Amino acid sequence: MEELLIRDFGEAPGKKYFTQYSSARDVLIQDNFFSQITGAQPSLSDHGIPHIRNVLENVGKLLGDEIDQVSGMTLYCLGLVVLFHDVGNVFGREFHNKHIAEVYNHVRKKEAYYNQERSVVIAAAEAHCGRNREGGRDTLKFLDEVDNLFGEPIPLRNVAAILRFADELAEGPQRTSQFMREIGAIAEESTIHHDYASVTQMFIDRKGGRVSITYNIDIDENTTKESLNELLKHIHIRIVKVDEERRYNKHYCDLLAPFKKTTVKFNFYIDGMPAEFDLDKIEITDRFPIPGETTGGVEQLLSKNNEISIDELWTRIDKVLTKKIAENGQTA
Amino acid sequence: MSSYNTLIAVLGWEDRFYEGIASDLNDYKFNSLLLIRYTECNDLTKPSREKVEALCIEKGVEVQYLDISDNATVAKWKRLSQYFSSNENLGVSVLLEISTMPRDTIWTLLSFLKEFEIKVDYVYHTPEEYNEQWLSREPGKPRLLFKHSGISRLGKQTALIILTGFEIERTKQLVHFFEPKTTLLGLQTGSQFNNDKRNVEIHESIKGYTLTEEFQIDAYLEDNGCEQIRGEVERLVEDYNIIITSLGPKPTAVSIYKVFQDYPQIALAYVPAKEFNPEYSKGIDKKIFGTFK
Amino acid sequence: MDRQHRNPFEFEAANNLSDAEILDYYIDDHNYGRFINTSRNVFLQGARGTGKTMALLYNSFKIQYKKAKADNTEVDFTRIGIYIPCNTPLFHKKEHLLFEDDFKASLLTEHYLVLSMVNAIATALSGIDELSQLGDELDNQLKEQMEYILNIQLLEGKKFFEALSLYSQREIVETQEAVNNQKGDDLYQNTLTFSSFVMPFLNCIRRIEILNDTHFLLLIDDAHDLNKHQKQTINSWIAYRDHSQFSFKVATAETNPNFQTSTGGMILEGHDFVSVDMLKPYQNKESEFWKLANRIVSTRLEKYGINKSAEEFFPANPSFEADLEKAREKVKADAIKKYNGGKGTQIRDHVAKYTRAEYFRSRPPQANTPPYSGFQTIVDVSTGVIRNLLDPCYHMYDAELSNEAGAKSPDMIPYNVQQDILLTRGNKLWERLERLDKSDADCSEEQANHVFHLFENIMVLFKARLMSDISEPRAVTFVISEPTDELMSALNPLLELAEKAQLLYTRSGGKHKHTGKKVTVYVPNRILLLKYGLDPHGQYASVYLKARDLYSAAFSNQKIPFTAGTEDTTQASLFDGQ
Repeated sequence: MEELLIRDFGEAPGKKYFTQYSSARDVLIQDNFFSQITGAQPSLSDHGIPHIRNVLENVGKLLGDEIDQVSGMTLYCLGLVVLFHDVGNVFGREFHNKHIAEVYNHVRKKEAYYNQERSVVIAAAEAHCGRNREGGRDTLKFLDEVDNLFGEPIPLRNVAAILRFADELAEGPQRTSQFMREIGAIAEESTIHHDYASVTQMFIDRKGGRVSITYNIDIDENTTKESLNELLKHIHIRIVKVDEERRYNKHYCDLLAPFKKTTVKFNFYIDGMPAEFDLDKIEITDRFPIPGETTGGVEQLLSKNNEISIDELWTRIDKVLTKKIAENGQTA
Repeated sequence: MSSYNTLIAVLGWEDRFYEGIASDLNDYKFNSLLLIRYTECNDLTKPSREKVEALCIEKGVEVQYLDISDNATVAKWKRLSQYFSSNENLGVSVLLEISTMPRDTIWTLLSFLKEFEIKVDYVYHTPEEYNEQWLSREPGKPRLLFKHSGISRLGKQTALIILTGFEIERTKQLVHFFEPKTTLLGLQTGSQFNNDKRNVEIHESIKGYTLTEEFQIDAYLEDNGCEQIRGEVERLVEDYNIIITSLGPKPTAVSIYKVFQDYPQIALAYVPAKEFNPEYSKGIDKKIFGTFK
Repeated sequence: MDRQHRNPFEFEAANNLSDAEILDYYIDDHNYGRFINTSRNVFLQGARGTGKTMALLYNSFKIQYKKAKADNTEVDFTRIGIYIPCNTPLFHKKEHLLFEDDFKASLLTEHYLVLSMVNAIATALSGIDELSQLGDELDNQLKEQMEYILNIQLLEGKKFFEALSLYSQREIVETQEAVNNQKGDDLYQNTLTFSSFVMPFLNCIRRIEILNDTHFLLLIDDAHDLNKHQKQTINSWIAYRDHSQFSFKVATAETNPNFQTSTGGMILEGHDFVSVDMLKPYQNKESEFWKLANRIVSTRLEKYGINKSAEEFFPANPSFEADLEKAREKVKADAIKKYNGGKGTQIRDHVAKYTRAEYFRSRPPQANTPPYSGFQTIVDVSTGVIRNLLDPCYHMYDAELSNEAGAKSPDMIPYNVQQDILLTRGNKLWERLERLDKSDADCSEEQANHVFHLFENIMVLFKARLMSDISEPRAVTFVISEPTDELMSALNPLLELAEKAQLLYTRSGGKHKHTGKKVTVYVPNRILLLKYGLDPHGQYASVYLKARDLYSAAFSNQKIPFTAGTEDTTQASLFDGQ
């Protein structure tokens, strides 16, 4: 970030912007803020410093070598958005994305200089989950495509999309505690999230055009079909979610275009050794229609756009025609 | 007195480099001396370079330098290829002074020179003695020379022919690297330079790693062992992919090349080294002369 | 050659052995073999001599076919292993480096790899009775199909597989002739790729009934000898989504193989392939190296008509056994006193732990090196590497054969011969260690000195520990503690050089129970211990050595600090989670 800020603004101003970022980061760290999230919500899989670091790393991996094409100010904005995206959890998980402003004000001490920054950061951070103003889940739809920060254009929707996807991919054993799980210190309703984190490995392979998920699941004589089923059901849901996020965020952000598929592999282990059955790798690619091959496309079009069906159209056409005929009759 | 247009040598630091050049300038007439200079040895070769330059001024021989480096094999090959793309600067007769010339350089030069309608002879000076402690260090991985890596046939096993020399470790390194089915050790005849003892040690060092056979070779015969080498190659070439290398007296490197010309399916291998002993050898002894073409 | 006078412990590269020898010598350790015979992509990683080639060759169809015929069992055509060696002069060629354009280099080298692969498949299948007798109609159809796809003419009068094998032979020769004689940046025009040759070929042969459902195991040996383009190409094939028809088993000696693909992506362990560490001796409890070693040696003896067990053929020095017994009695007496009679297995555990240490400690200072002998000692000094097991056995047999008048095959190796050979082989390795820059590629004189000092000081430490009254005196492996980036960036190149030279091996020591991070256990080649009179049997514990102490040992030749009484070992587990 610092390098690109210096590249775009020169040594002194570039360093100044970077200091603005790092001071916000340092306040949050020195205030032990991130550890309070875990404290307030002990059953949450990790949302503290390791998670923030993980999300930041994921941002880097998602952008790959193309990071050089991103402006320094955009990276600055991205960095802040990552820092603040989960801070609302300190007030509770529900609607955590809506409480960012309070924490933000504490960090920036309500200085007017940061007003625009606050607006931009909160807008992008709020869009990483939850619902939009219409109650739908398309939170990126209502974000401005471009906003500005300190007079520089910010591709705001791109920023939000990258955060959203990086956050989704910040999953794995680092988000849970083996010790807490063993002593049963995790609330029952959260256990499944911790179990999921403990078996998941994410890999972002930009040049390979994919996001890879590997599930390493230990089984032993105590494993039951029911317990495995619970975990598997959650895994299935999360696989679909990751792939949906991939396609969704790619739609709004060209920088994520290389991620054409999600690959999934299940590995089962007994006593630390791979179990003796082979499961093929699953590959979920972008769903695109092949001209001439797809059936049901018209029905799908009409189900979402009922107003252009013949019945609906004729109702409207008939109405205006009837009115016209009536007018002509009167004239005659 | 025979005359040549050009004397080609690799700038060295051993006694026999300067003494060899001096002897050559005394025995033959030249228009020019082309010194191939390995830039990583510049410090080591500075004293002898100055002496040779002075001698050439005295003899009225023009000195030219061709700078190359062993650190970049591709650049080295291309540089030599470019320089020897025509024989404009060489004339119609060339004498190769191979006393301090690395074997891969000998082969490279022969490969370019053979394309021209020129006479190529070579001369080699033995030293009085070699250093007993060490000769070279920090070896690189064995390599096949560009454009001389042979014609490998699928499904055939590898035969490695090593004309052995002083450095037992090189023999072992080659065997470990290429893992041949069979290794033919060409053992230099005679007991000069503790040959007998060394030959036993070489054999011991690779025992168990490969099937081993030996044959005797005399680099100091008139043909520098060429027919002995050819015989072994002929015997094996149908059944094996052959890799051949010379770790022994340099004239055998020329012999290998002559055999290669008749059997281009064999691969020429060498082991580069990063460091050579400044006290590699002492003095100068016999002279061996040969004709390449 | 008369088998009786050949050495039963030949350890030459496995691909130089005959088919009969492979069948005779291979010992299934119930370990990585089962990975090879699956549809997973597998990387077999291990240094020279760890058995990679043997494992691949044994699983090749040629050998499995012979085995089925010999055992009178049904041949399994559902899995066909094709052995593809890469340590050949073809793969040592470097002409591709002369291209200005990297892409041309990758095309040429893929061409070599593809031709090798198809030739290997065609040659393997042409040797199979069931396939060499295809009906003329099908044979012609297959030929026509490949001729059409490749726009070539296959040799008339030859059956399909043989014709294709001959075609690939001809093509490889023509390519090399062209490349060796080409000037400038011209690329040989008829280069073939995996997609243009291998895949259509595999699709084509599925028309043969017995190959309808065949999964081909492409067994690529010595992949470390491939150039970077070829490695990336193979990685790209591994990343390919459909592995119903084929999978790759890649054997490599590289400790950190490059998993990049041609497009710059990566293949992922656990996701795209499984990695098997050939040096991990306890991959499952049934495959303890001692048992494997015993079976290997016993099989070899049996094949040579020597009716002795490994322990009978390599007996230990009786004085060693007697002195060990004396040490055992002393330790037992001490334990009874210490534990007041002892509870449960206390005495037994104490005796097992300290007997050998007591033996080594109580040897008189002026005594010679311990009488290293016996099969257990030979297994110990092998450090879990099969070739290291066979090497001293080979030389012992050779030495005894030279001693025997009339060249009669030895029926036992006297313990004094064993000791001589073990000490000689150990000293030879020390000589090499002392001057690594002379014998090993890419090691400078300075690095050679550092590596030597490092090892010397580690041995001195191990000796000090052995002679002290501490809890794990015989530990001869170590874990690096308190590593910093700066220290490790200096140490790692030395450790890598040592590993490459097989002076040092690394094992996964499981996960650190507090940090959860993987622990690497460093295992010096145990034959090096003999010069210092150490116990090669070792102990199930690793010594914590601080990175800064190792650094000082290597770069300043300083002794590694040791104070008896300090807790300096870890029971770094060789099983994850244990």
